[in-house]
Amino acid sequence: MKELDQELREALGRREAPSGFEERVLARIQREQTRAARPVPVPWWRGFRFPALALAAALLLLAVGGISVQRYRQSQETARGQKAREQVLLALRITGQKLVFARNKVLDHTLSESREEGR
Amino acid sequence: MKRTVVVLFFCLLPAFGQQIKMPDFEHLAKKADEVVNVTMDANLLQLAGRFLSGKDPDEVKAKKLISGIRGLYVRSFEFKNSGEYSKSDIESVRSQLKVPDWSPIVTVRSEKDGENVDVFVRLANGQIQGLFVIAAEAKQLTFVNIDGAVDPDQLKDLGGSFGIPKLNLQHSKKSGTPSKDSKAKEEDEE
Repeated sequence: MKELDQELREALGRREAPSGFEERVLARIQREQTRAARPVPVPWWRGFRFPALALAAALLLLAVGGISVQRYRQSQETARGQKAREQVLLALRITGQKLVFARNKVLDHTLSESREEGR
Repeated sequence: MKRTVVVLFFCLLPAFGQQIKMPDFEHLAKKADEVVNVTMDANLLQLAGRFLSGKDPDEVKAKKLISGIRGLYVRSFEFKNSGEYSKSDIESVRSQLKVPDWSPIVTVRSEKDGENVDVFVRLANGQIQGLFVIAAEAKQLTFVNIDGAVDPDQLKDLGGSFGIPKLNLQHSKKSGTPSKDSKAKEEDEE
C-alpha cells in the first residue's frame, strides 16, 4: 500500500514546465482568438440570396449586351448603305454624262455632214 | 481628215449572258489625277436602293433605274495631260465586246480631236439586258458597264438629273454656243 502511494505521489507530483511552454500556449491562444475574429470570405456567387434575382441580373446583362451588338450592326449597315447610295448616284451621273457625250458626238458629225452636203 | 461615224442598228440576238471583265487599270490609276472606281453587284445595289430617298426626284429616278439591274461598274480616269492612256487599254475591254451577244449601237472615231466613243448593248428577248459605254477623251477615259434590264427611257431621263445637262438639239457644241450650222444658214439667207 505504501509503495502504491509512493508511486502515485511520484506520478502525480508537480513538475516544472519545459522552457517556452507558457509562451507557446499564450501564442496559440492568441492565434485561436484571431482566427475566430476574422470573417470567413464568402464566394461572390453565394452573395445572391435569391436565385431568381441572380437569374434576372444575368438576363438583364444578356439583353443589354444583345441590344448593344444589334445597334452596332445597324450603324455598320447604315454606313454601308449610305456609301452604296453615294456610289450609285456617282455612277449614274457619270453614265448620263457619257451618254450625252456620245449623243453630242453623233450630232456633231451629223451636222458637219449636212453642212458639207449643203455646199 | 474626215471623221467617221458608223451607226449600227441593233438586231435581235440570243443572249449568252457573257460577263465583261472590267480591269482595275492600276497603271492608269497611278497616273490619273482623279479616279472613279465603282463596282456594285446585285446585293450592293439592293442595299443602295434602300437608302435612296423616295422624295428627291433624282434619287427616285435612280431607284427606279437600278431596280432591274444586276451590276453597275464604272472605271473613270481623269488625267492632267493628254496621251496618258493607250489604245491597248481600250482594246483590253473593247475586244471582249466583239461577241455575238453584244451589239455596237454607236461608234465614233474623231481624228480631229482624238475623242472616241462606243456604246454597246446586249439584247435578250427584245429587251436591253446590258449597256456598255467606252468614252475616250483627250484627258479622260471612262468605261461604264450596266448589267441587267436597262430602260432606254430611264437612261434618257438621266439628262437633267444629277447635274447632267439636258441635250439641247440647237446647241450641239459643249460650250452651249449656237451651232455653226444654224449660223451658216442665217448667213445663206442674207
